[in-house]
Amino acid sequence: MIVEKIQEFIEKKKRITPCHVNRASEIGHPCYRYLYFLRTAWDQAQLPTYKQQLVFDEGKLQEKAVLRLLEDAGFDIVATQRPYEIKELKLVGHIDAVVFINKSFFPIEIKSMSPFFFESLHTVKDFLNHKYAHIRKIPFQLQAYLMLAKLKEAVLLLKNRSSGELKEIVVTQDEKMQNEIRVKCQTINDLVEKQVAPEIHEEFDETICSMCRFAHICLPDVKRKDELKLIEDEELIALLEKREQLKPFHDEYLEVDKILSKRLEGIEKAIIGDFIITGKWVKRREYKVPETTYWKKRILRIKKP
Amino acid sequence: MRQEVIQVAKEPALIEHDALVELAEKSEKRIEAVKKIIRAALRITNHRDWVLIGSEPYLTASGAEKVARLFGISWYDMKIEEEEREDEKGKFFMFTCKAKFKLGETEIEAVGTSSTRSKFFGWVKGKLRELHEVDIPSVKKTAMTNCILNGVKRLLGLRNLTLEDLKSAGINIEKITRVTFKEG
Repeated sequence: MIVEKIQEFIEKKKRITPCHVNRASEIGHPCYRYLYFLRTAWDQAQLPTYKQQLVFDEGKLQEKAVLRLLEDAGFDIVATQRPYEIKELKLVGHIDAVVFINKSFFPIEIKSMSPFFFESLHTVKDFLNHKYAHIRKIPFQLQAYLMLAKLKEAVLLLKNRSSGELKEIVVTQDEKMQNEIRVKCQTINDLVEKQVAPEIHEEFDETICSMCRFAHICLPDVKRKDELKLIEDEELIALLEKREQLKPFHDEYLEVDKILSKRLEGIEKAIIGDFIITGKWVKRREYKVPETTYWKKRILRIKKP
Repeated sequence: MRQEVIQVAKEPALIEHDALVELAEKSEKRIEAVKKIIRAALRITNHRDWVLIGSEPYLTASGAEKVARLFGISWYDMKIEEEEREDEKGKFFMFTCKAKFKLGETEIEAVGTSSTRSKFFGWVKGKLRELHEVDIPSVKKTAMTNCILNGVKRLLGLRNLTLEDLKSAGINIEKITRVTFKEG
């Protein structure tokens, strides 16, 4: 009744925009082929799904709400969505807002996100080391803004979409990242001019390629070497079965022990039922865990007994 | 006239019998292995990886990707052919995606198709969309995902699965999205 009509409206909003330049918001994308297709095959890109469109729209709404909040809080917003361009790099960007604080201008990029992402991101390094490419590219977007606005510092303002909480991360000019952006822009510009698509990556990246809106144009080979083995080892099967049987007891033991540790804290000597309890405070020594590699296993039972 | 006595050779029959048993054992093992593969494939999917069309469960592209990752299925030489067709309702496009799929030593070719006339992309409220209104890149991508789905399903024998199969693999079938197409 209501949702259906809204869905129809949202579906009509889905569109792609022409792209003839390198966008600041995309320049941190790890795939040169994607960046090339953005310039040369933008009209063949897959439209966002209904759910993706909802997320984009929600982001825009949150951005407006944060800007309003900044104004209400008395910040001097000198520009919003102002376009910038570096002609020789064909690099463009629209900065969410430029705020005048302590006699300086700060470009601000507003990103609203799920509580899960919000809680895991505190520094620029957290962004750069993130599992997802769309998070890893954000610091490059900010560096591109600094290049475009010819400024030294920008603010990344994060908003928790669930609680409304805000978090600020000051991003300072990083020569290395900015050089990377320059090289990327020049490489893409050259390839676009020559109409030569970059080579396909040897390794198929599950987190990037399977979500790519140019996958139907790129058509990468997916080479997987880690085939699943069928191992018929009676001893291993017996051990796995035994582990499965003992697991509930182990879990229960840990739970009970945790409660007991809490309840018995501070009791030095006591008899409780048939048990003698002793305890003392022990100082935990600080030590550094050396970096090693270990095999992380995951056991999932196929069939419930 | 003396009747000729024909000696019945027992040895070959015994061998044949053994061979049969071995064959039966092998095929039993094979059936058990196939069942295990299907159960394992289902076990790593969840309700979000399936859709219900009518009462039939269909694996989604995300589900197929998960299963392909677990089993280490590769694919290559993917090609999409575009064909322009015309009938009394006008022009439309048909996309056919072909690729080779590999699991261990087994290699197959699979095909996936999609058209601008498909129920999902080509129709709205029981009316055929104008061609310029159709999201053609998504139709093309669907041919590709259908090809991946078919390749993965064929390699692992994940076809004709029932809701009961999914339920016994621990998938909450109540939560599976139902897909309906409006007729008008």
